Amino acid sequence: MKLECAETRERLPEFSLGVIDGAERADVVVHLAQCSACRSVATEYGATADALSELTGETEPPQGFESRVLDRLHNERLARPRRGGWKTLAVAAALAAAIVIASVAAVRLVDASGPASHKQSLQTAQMIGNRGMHAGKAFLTEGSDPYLFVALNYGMPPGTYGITTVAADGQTAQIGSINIVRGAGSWAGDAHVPAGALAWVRIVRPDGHTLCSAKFAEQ
Amino acid sequence: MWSVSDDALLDGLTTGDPDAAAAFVERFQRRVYGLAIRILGDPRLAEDVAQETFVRAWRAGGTFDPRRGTVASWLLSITRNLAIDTIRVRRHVVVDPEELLQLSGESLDRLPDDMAVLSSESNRLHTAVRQLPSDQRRSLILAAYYGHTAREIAELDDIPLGTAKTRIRAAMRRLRAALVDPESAE
Repeated sequence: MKLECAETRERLPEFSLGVIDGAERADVVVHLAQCSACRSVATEYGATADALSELTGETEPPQGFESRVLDRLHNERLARPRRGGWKTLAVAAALAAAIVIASVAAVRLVDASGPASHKQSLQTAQMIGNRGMHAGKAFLTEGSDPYLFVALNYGMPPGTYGITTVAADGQTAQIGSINIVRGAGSWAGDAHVPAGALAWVRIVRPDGHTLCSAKFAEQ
Repeated sequence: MWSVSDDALLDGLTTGDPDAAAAFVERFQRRVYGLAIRILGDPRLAEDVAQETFVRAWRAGGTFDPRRGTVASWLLSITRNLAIDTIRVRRHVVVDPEELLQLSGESLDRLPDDMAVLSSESNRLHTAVRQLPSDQRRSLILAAYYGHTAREIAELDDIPLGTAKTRIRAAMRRLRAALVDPESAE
């Protein structure tokens, strides 16, 4: 096992629980993008962390809880009709767990037996927000069917935001969503744009405002 | 309706089917509220978090991938993250270490009453958590349920940072072994 693998595996318990700091998180994400063996271990730790949430058992909620939730869902649907429905969103194939413990998502969306192209080198771009704030990084594998990784660790308000790609020809697409918890979050999945054709990745609020973006080098 | 799979109910929730939404909430509300109240200890905050969990599930249901885990674990991860955010934002909600010790001891001892609804995997994990050394179990619970980093745990328990990291890592290694390779973990 390489030293990088040993260091990464040491950090995987905290990574899977979402309690690792931003710099270490980024190091882990970068390593996992290139190491299927460590991705496999990370997936097991992720499943362990998820399973812990199921250990607390059941508690009867207060009377009327169910009807209050359903009323709220009804009102939310009226206020924010979904465009295209879940199947459209699901087209962004690897959006597995953007709302799961965010750091775990970066692991799980990459199949441990993924194609060799995922082990190639990464393009890296800074996610830049208002006034030049460095909000995190985006990583893109090479090839015709690249994976995109987004790791945000600074200055992001909590919430769920869209991940939008802009191709070199100007075509835009929302490929997923990212959940920011305690100022950090990460996402990984298919970029749906050939690596050389991806110009921008943007993190977008539900009202369409761009919070931060990363520019990839033209090829 | 009750024979419908969790995945199908989630699909129904996200497409706006009111029957599916009602069945989804009915199926998961006790587990969602149970996790929220265990972490927050405040019924009003726990209800806020539980309600928000279902709204987030409706909004983000399209991102769920059944190949990566169960609907329950996905949903409860939303609850956990929201509860941790609530703890962070409302700093007046102070975690009482004595209550945490109770959580790591007596409360988990009560879990067998609930085990009928838990899977064999959860059973193994539950056993493994109870068998952890108490200092590892406490650090694990502080990290897993309260979102504390190793540095925060070190400050809270007045222990070196390295010790806090070691405890979290050792605990998670044992739990992972219990799930992945139960024989070697025993």
